[in-house]
Amino acid sequence: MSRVDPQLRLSLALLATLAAVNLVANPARFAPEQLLTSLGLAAPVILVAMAATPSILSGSGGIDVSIGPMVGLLNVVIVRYGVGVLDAPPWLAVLLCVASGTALGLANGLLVVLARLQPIVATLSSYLVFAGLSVLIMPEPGGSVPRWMAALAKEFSWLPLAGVALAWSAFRWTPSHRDLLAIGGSDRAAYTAGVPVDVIRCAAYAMGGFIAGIAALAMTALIGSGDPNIGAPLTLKAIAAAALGGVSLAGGRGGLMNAGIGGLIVFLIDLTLTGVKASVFALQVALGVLLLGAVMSNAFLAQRRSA
Amino acid sequence: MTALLRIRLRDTSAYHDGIVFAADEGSIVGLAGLEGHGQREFLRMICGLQPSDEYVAELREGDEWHAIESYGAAAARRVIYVPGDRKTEGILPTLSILDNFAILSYPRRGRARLIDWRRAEAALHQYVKWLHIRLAKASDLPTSLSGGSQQKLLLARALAAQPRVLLLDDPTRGVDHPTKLEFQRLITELARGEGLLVLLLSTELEELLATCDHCLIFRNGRLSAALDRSSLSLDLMVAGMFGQLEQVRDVTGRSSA
Repeated sequence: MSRVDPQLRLSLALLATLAAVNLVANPARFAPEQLLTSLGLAAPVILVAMAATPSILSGSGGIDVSIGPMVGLLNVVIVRYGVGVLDAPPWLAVLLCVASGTALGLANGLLVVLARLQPIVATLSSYLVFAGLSVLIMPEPGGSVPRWMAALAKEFSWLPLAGVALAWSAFRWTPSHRDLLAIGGSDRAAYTAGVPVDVIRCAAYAMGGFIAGIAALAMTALIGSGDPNIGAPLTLKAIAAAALGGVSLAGGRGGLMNAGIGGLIVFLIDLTLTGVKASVFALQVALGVLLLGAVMSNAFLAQRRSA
Repeated sequence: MTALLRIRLRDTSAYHDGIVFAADEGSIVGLAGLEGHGQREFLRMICGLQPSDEYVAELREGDEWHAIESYGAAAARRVIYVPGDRKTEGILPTLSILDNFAILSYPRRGRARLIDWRRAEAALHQYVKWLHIRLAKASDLPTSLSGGSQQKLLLARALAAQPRVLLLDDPTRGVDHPTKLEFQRLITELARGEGLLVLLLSTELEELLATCDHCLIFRNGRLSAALDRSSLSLDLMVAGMFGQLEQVRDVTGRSSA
């Protein structure tokens, strides 16, 4: 990590600009006593962007479009069953969320690896299933969360992010991390280099599900209830954020740090436009244009790199 | 000396023991043929990358012979393949030079599964010195290297896995002449000095003539002739490639007909 790659530099510049604009326009959000609450507000989109990243890194068209509804499904499951039926203690609620997320991600991975479905087709099916199940489980927004969970969006808003960051840092020291980037670059070359391609690809989707579980915790903490429709719009934000942060959609380049930066960028754009009372649709337009810019600059830089 | 690697026919009715070829450690075996006449498939069959209906490769460990039926099994028995098509099958384009070198030897089993970067880099620099790889920084992308250096990097990756049998798929294709000579010297050194069995597929007959102890000639998808050092000549090789030679002769001297 000695040298900062140009894509990351571009993302950091965009992030700095947005941060400066918001610091001037919206100083209250960045007051020291408000910082953790603001982080709690940003955490869901940052974590969903991170959850979308491992599958993108695995290459061969790898993408998990079901990641948004997956977070939504986990949200209603944790509120309806974890809190409502079981009245689960913190450790059990966290375990339930993370284990279910991993299982859902693993299911996506198996569809891609065993059934040999195109990732976008496999996860689009999951998207519909997850979104439908959410409404079946909880037709109307409702429910409530215990105090400890609400604290995850306030004074302990750093905890889910720190947990994922720590786990990813540890993962980066293992050969499996290199294997993931290797299959993202080229399946054939990775296989010839002794990488168990299918196992790693499947694990990447499961890993995305694991992070989606933690994203669901942060999201549930933030909204303090269950909402069957909260998840679906997150997918596009997550993938846009990953790309804006410098994760190559072709696979093999980038990491969770890129996704985190991208998530922050998307959050700050959101904040800026809400600050000037622009409509949600203006946000979509802005995001679309920025995403186009990010992907094009990405392609341009990749071309220069290989030249 | 007993052989290290042998190739049998799956259908053993044609020969009494079905063995068409056997090779000792410390020797260099060339594979030659007109483009697309089965020599590449044969090489890939030996490391389990491309199973064949006709042949099966067996490796000796102690007194036992083990058939190599999968790529993973070959690697576990230290039969290591160095891909020829370095652009699509060799170099990992998104990983650093260091990772490209070390990926085959990173710890994957047992308790110590974390990467020891310092050790990996020290190992890389040993090979950089030995193989004369021109390299600026180990953290650079491998696409910054010349074709010859990329090929050497792939060779270094294979050697770091401590092979008993090294399978080279046309390693000097598209490599400049001095580097070609360097490769030939290295291959000889690996076989004579380190005792590796090297199987060398080459499109350059002069290269095979300069290095090989035995040469297998392929025609129409099959092993059609085996020449040993004493009878190795350009004329015979060309004759074999065009189907002008007799049936397979077992290079270890045992009768095969």
